[in-house]
Amino acid sequence: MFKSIIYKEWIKTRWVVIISFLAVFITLIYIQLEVRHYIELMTAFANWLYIVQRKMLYYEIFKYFPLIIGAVISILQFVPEMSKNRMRLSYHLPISEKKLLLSMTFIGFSLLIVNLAIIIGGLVEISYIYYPTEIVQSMLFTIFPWLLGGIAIYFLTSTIILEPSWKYRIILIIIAFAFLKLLFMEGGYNEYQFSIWKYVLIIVFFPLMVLFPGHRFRKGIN
Amino acid sequence: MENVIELKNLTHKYGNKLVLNNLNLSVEKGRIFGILGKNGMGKTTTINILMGFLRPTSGVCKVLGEDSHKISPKTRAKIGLLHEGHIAYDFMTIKQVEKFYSNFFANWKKDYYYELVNKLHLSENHRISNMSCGQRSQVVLGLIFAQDPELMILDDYSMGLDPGYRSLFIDYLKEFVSTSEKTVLMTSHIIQDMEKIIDDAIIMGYQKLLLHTSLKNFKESFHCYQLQRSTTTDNLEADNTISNIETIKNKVNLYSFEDITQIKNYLTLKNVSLDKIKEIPLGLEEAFIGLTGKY
Amino acid sequence: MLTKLSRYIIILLIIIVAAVYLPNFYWMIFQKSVGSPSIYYSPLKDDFVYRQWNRLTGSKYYDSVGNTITDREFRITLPFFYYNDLAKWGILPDSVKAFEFDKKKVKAEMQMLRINSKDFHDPLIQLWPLIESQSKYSRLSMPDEFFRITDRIEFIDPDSNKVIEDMSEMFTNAMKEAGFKFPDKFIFGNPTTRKSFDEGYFIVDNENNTYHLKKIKGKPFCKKTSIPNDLDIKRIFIQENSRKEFYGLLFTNSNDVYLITYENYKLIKLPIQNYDSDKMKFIFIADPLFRTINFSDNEKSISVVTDKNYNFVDKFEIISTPKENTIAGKIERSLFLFDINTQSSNTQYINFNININYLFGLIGIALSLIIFFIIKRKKQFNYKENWFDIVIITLTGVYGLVAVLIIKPGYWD
Repeated sequence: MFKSIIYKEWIKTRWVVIISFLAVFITLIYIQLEVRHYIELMTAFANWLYIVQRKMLYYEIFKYFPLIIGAVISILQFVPEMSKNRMRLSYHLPISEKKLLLSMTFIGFSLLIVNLAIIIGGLVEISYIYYPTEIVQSMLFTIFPWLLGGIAIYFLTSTIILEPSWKYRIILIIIAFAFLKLLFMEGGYNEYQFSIWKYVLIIVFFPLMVLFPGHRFRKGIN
Repeated sequence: MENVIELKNLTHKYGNKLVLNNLNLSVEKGRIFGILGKNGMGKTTTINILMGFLRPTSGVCKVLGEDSHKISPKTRAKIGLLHEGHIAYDFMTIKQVEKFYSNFFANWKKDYYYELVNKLHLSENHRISNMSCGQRSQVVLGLIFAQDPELMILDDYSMGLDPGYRSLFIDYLKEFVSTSEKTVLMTSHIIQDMEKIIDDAIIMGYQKLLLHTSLKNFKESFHCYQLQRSTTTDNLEADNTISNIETIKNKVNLYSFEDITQIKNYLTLKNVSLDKIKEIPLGLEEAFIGLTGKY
Repeated sequence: MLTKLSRYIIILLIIIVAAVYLPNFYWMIFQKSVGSPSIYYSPLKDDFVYRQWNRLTGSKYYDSVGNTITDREFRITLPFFYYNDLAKWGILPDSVKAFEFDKKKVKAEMQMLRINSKDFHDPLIQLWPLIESQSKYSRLSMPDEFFRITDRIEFIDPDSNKVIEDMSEMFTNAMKEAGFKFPDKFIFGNPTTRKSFDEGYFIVDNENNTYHLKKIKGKPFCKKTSIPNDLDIKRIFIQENSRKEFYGLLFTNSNDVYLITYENYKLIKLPIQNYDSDKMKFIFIADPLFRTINFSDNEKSISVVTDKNYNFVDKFEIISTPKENTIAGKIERSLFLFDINTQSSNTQYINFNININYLFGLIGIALSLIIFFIIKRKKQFNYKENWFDIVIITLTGVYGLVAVLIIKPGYWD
């Protein structure tokens, strides 16, 4: 049964996943070229100094990628299900509604994670060519809240789409927006180093959020 | 014979608006049931409760022995649903949707599906979103047949279908249920179609059941009597004897479950002239409208 | 069960977001913006003057007893700061106390250091350029490599992204010979070329001894300073100044402040009390006659003046009501049981700190519970299934009340 759900979710999302892989690869290549260009233009020393002292984030172009990918995967998974009440089909399948929702989100989440892993892997590869461990580490610390934002937006968007009533949807949209903003407040690098585990602790519970709107749909609560 | 569906004192309110008022009903195994009634009489509410998408305010709705709003997954496998509008996974193709569903049901009968769907003469990679409503209805019906469920609940199977597809739908359904003990619950507005297939009917009125009987019974016991219109007939009102009164130009139609003798007595008591009184034969649709009124 | 938990997670998220944003909205509406006063010592008056800014009236100037003075009067009392204006007005004094007034001399003897509480915790990447301190050119220039310190000092060549072994070995040996015990605890320096000369780095080793590291004609200079190893150093700020009085300021975790003088690193302790490096901004001003040390937060501004030998001369303090203690503040603390801060005065890092208003917050909790019971009296509320809603209101006050009322329970049977 889980295989079938993977099959269904893949049919819905395969294009965005392929496109996002491509976008990530192209952006990684772009970053590599740009870094090389800067180094040639201003010398490697000046480039490192810029990064250390002027807080230039050579990977900043990726800042909103996780958010976009996470939101789009969620939209592609759940909008076709919720339009015209099509979610009824899924809820009627002979599988518990909790298992259904958690499976669907697990699949979307996995697709998202693969993308994020490629971003991380690609950036680490490129960074190690040109930069020392300290800069590579600061890159990882700095992108981590952005990646977390991608994960958070995936579950928040899913919850919002699965919610049957517009009143709750709007409230959730406001809350989601306000929360996500908290992960993008950095003015430089490494700034979330000490507090990020608290954000992780909150986001770890997000996967369960989809169950409540599902329950409301099932009981006809509006 | 066990009851496949059982409603006991089923009541539902939307806020303060009472829609279902202590509805009691049982459906036996193997019967084909039609739920009729005008819009706003609670048909949709009842279907939503039966399908398990609405928890009733009070009362009990048991489907295959379980409360409808928390049916176990195992039991759901025995229930085939047709949702209003023939909704389906539009983003899938003919082949994909069958493959998807097949893994959920132990007794999946792939042939039943393709038997129906192949008649559309479409490629198996044809996406459902690119089909007409009628074509989609075939796919959905095929999926239900392949599931081979004990109980089928079909919510407004006729919506969006032209007469050709409607007729096809009923024919296939009839053929399917004739071979086994399947229970079917269906709603529709197209009563002539339903006539071909349903055994029993319930007709829902405002906060009550107007009728719950077999079709045969209904047609035999519901009569229409036509009279000459007069001032006395204008004073007649619907009551326990007369279900509905229709006045058209100089004729009056009286609808009732009483036979002609009783009616004659009733009218005499009301000082109505029995001149030119005659009984008019009714088709199911006319009988239905006669019972529920045109508005 | 899981679905109930799902609802509580949504409720908790609403509470968290509310706790971050609502107090800020509240203060946006109710906070009067008043800057903290800037206090200066006038060598002409032998007394303090200060400037206070607020949004409505702009800058206003006062003497030490609180009388208003004009901007012009203010500047006249502070010749070391405003000599250009005084010259323009034609009233530049010939001398101030023992000091004969000479613009060039004044400039040469002025030095200022400003340190904000946030400066103590900054997420700087630990890669440092060791500037050649005896450059053959008039201006300083950046070296070609960076260094890091682990269990040795390593110089890295950015062009190859590899460690320069011989240079690393040479410097490591020099440091070891000076007594340095790797790894370091802190590295403090001023890695910019926008200064007239470079004093390299002050590095605290693993045994809390402070060493001075420089590069002289390409060769390592590493000397153990006399700075005691039991000071519990918080941070050293270096400022190279041609006055060559001190290398910089040393701050300890017990909020003592020292100057590291050029006399063999001898420390001079500044005679100040009640300085809190976590909250206050700190300014050190040296002029031809005095030393002024100002530190302030939103509750008080203190100025301590000493002579050139750091003997105490005078002190001035202005106290104001911090926003928490105003009426608006008290209402805020009752209304909001707690708030979540992502910015903090003592760090450049982003936080997530919960700040609980213990006493006043109880009022908020009581109010919230009362309102909840009143609202729910009319509509039936399933207390047995949803008792945790009450717990949430008790623990989070108004935030919980609003969240629990908005996100209604499901049908849990």
